[in-house]
Amino acid sequence: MADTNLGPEIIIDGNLQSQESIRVDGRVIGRVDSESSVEIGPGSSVKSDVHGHRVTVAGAVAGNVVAKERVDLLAGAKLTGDVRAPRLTIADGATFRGKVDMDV
Amino acid sequence: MSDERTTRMSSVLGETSVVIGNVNGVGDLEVRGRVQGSISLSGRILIAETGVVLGNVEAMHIAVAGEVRGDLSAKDGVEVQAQGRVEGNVEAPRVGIEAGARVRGMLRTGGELPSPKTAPAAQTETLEKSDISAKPNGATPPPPPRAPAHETATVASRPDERRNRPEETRSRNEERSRNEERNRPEETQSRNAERKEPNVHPRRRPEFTPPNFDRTRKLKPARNAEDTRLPDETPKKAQRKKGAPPPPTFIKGARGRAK
Repeated sequence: MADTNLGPEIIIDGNLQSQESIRVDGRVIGRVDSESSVEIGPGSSVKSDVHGHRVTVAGAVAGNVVAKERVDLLAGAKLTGDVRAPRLTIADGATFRGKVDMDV
Repeated sequence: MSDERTTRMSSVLGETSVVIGNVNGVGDLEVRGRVQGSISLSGRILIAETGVVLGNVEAMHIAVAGEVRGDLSAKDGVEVQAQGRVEGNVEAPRVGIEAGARVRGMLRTGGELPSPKTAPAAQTETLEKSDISAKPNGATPPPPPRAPAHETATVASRPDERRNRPEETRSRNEERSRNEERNRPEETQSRNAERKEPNVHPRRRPEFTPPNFDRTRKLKPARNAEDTRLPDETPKKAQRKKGAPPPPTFIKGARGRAK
């Protein structure tokens, strides 16, 4: 379980930042920053950039996703924005509109 | 009590997490990190020992073991644990403050209780408790009189007594020598200085400014009234007018009535 865990009906109207891992099942209307892993759970949404060491998206993200290690778009993910990470996987069923930059 | 503190809630903000903005929603939340903004939830909120909230907190139940600078408002109850620090008003039907907790602000309990007579008693009780628990820590001065009159009737009567004392001595000193009278304004001034010190409430300092926190609420009228009633120059004016016929009993009576 992630160190920071937002339940499905929690809404953060602002930025969320942590040095530990973050899992979002609710909504964040703002940035999500972590120096560890970031999970955007199914049914959740983030309305701005997501930065992390390792980012896993199963929900909706409207913003750029930047990861130092890798980005995983799982089935059901909906990403509108650019991805910058050395590794990227897009699962079958994921929606993605944006550019990819893997020269990190 | 012990189970509530150890069990992990459905939503957790970790120790290193920082939220800059408001948190709303449904469910429970445990804050171990820092929230710079208000929190409004339908469930329970636990501010853990490492948690800091700079803003108002609203929930069904609020337990504070960390630090909150802002108002607490709960539909069920507020519980300030021994390590907890609260700077702000607390409003809930039930308020519990453990020994050792630091609470600075107005408490309003019993909002939904049927009989209005029980509410003020509960208020003064909790205020005293917070006083006692605040003293051993040293750094926190006792909270000044700032609540509605019925709550702090005993506290409010003290300034009145002090206010009357110089006037009484003045009427007695009318027949004394002028040298003695010259000394008096300094005495009263030093008294006034003593009096003014507790008026500078720590929350007026700029560091205590949580967002959406109305510091001036319910405090201003009382403070202003006191300040205008006690100018430093009153003894000197009385001294100058002494050349004219001043019946001392008239002054005494007039002040007494005005009060």
